[in-house]
Amino acid sequence: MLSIVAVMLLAMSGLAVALLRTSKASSSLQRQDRENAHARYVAQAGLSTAMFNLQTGHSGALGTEQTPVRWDRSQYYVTQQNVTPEVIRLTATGLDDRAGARQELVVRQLPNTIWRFGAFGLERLHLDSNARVDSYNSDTGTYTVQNVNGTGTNKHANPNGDVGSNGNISLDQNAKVWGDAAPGPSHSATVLGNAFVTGSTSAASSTMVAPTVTVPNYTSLGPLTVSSTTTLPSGNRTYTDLVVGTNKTLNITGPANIVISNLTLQSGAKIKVDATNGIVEFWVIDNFILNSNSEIAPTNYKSKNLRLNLLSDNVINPEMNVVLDTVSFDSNSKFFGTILAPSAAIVVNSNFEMFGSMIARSVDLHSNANFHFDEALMNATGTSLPTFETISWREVPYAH
Amino acid sequence: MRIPRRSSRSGFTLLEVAIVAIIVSVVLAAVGLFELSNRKTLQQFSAVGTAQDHAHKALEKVLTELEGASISTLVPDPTGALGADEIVYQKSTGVNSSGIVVWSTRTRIAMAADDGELLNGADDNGNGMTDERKLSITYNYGTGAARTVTIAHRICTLFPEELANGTDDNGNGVIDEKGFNVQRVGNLLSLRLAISALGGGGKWVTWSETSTLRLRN
Repeated sequence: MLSIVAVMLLAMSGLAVALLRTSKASSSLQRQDRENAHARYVAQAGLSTAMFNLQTGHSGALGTEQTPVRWDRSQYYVTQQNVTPEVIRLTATGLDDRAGARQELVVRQLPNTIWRFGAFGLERLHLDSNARVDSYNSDTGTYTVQNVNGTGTNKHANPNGDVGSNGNISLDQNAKVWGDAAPGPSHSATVLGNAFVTGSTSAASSTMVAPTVTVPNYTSLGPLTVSSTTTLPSGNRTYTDLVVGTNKTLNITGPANIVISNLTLQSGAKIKVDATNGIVEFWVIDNFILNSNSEIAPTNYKSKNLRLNLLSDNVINPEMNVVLDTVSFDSNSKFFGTILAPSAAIVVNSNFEMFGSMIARSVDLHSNANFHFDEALMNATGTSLPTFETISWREVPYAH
Repeated sequence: MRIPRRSSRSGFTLLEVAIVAIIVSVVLAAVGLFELSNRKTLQQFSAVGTAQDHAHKALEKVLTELEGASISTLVPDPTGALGADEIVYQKSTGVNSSGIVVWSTRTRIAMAADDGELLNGADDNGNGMTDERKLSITYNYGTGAARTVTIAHRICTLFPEELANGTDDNGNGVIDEKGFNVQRVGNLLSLRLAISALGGGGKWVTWSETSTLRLRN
């Protein structure tokens, strides 16, 4: 009888041990999974904190391998490496008990200005066949001097002629962008046939918010028609209608702020801006008409010296009964400066040439339109905090 | 006075043993009957658990794979109402010394006919399912070094409650989605997976899972 009981006890003990081992192994696996997941979350928390620090003007490096930052019962540390002056690599390591996880985030610091693109369409951007965008730097010389790369139809200056949009970007056959074409988040860039973009076509990580255009209030001087060469002294003024006659020139001495209801440059007309003592800024409220072969430019051809704010609204809004404004950039005209037109759908006619940067509600570059982004615009210093865009994220194998 | 002595042979009487035996028999019979009556239910539960486990692990693998994928490399870009039942993508492998992203070779996640099965409307491998698929990941897709890993079997032809009729029968926002489906809205990628397992009485049970991840690149 005793022997039977002993055998039974032994068998039961064996079963209990086996059960315990199975349970322990299962528990160990579950614990390992949980710790691995927790380590990933902690690494993510480290990256988020590092990005917050970068965006508030501080270093992204947090803790060290020897003295990690405590995060509840876990720990993390983040290293920062400057790959280039603009590109920063953050590597976060999360530690949870015996588990570790590592994630790498590479971000690019954006120039502290909205003038980062040759052309930017807040809603969309389209380049017809043979439209071209490249870049140059007006601080180092004229476009002609820098237009020495490539040959034939591929001749261009610098490859920083980025275009962008908060929406989609489309390039028709043979359109050329020497730079990036950055559609808005969740939007895409369509590049047809022989068209090309030398840089990235990846979607931007955030949308651009165009600044609000506020029109200053100056005493109105009524209409002005330029029928012979005319020079306006520096100062601020408002005109109802300003027309520069055919082949006539209007000289404006800066600094000056000029508000115009309707601006028309007839064929061959010019507005020349002398920015020796200060820049000239225009606000055009309704119609803006740049007829063929006309030109608006600073005398030194530096685009940072001339700003054009277009309040024109030429887009049909089905909910409103409005008189649409006319916005016209005719063929063979030239513009040196920046154009901000958040309400206008701008159609640039063939052979129009722009030196500087344009931001509009939508932008259509007709065939053979040429945009030359002026890199000097990016050097303007701002006062706001730095902004970054994500260019790469990945999990990195963790090793002690 | 003599007090009667108790017998030195202590133990259960025959009657006691008989009673215990009867009780044990009744209990065992009850358990046996209960077991028999619930065998099918238990098998069903077990099959659901198996399908759930397989679906969960496979979806987790796909989520991990796709988290670092770049939106600009997705082929096809599954933004439409149909989504896609296969996807090719590239992941960042870091940046070079100029700060330019270096992309991985292409990886493909796609369904194919399950082992021994042909997509011909018949049960070719005799497992009771018709035209079931398997889900595989092919690394270095399109190169000579391509390597395929199968991460799930018995993927359903169509997602539960969906018919191949050009409409969204199950109201989940995707039209005619198959047992594996990917759909992108912005930088969010929705993944759907439906897997079957054999339950009691030769009846197949299906488990479906849906998850969403934020694409980082």
